[in-house]
Amino acid sequence: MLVVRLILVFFKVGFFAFGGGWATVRLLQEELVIRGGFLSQEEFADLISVSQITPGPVAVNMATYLGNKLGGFMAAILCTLALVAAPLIIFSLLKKFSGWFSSFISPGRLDRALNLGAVVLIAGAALSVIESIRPNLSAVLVGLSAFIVIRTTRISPLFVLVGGGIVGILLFST
Amino acid sequence: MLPIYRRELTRLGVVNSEDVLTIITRAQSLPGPIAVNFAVVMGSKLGGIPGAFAAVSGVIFPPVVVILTLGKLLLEHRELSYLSGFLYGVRIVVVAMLGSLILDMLKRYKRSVWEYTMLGLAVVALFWKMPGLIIFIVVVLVDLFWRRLGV
Repeated sequence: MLVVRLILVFFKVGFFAFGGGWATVRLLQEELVIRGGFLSQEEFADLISVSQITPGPVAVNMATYLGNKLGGFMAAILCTLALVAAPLIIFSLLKKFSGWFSSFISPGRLDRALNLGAVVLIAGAALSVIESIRPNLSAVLVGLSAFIVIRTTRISPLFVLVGGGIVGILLFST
Repeated sequence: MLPIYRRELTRLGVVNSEDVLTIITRAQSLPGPIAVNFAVVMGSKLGGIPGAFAAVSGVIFPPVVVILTLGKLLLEHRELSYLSGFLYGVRIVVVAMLGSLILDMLKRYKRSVWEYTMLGLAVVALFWKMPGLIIFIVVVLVDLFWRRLGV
């Protein structure tokens, strides 16, 4: 029944992932770490790191990993499919009802509001990760330099992430 | 990822690059990872609902395989000294990356002082561990209807 609960969590969270997969991270942390106790905050943060250096959106990676961890291969597939069900369902509904829907909410207005909501959830994702970082000078310096590199150069994010990892080996290995 | 889709799909000759831009716009209005949404819209354009399923399966197949092998291996050994340092360093860069993503998303619309105030309040609420889903719904509804409320 654990697996059924997990599948329902991913199914639900999929519907709120406006603005991309990152919007799901905060919701998943609340459901899986804080309320569900399926994994620890540390493991959750490491899972995010691993998701960033492997292919695929973070939400898909989480669904696959957690499904597999709690219920094996089939559960991994089912959780991943549950997550991607939302865009499939919304897209088919929009095709049928978009005319009716846009008669009382203009799509532009809705997009503007959803964009702000997505910013809130992505800020939530950032807070979820920050919680698992010990606030000290070296962490702040690494974070700030990464931010400057991302904003001012065209270096691919993957290289910045791996660079951060290498600096991490030097500074934070236990 | 999207530039790669664009190059590969136009090379296959199934769409032209103008179509790709329309598909991206529609994909952005759906909830979910943008790569998955792109596959939904693209697949359905070419082959209806079965096409959408086929395209989504294609997009999620590689990450599923990598997470079940390499991802699982890394996470099983995440407490090893160097690996834990590496993942911790990546964690910090993820926060910087999300900060940058938020700045880019805020550029999409010109926001009023009220919207920024609401955003600030929402972040404080998240900091106090209020449920993200409720905060999301409140922010979206207020932003949708506040002109009608006469604020």
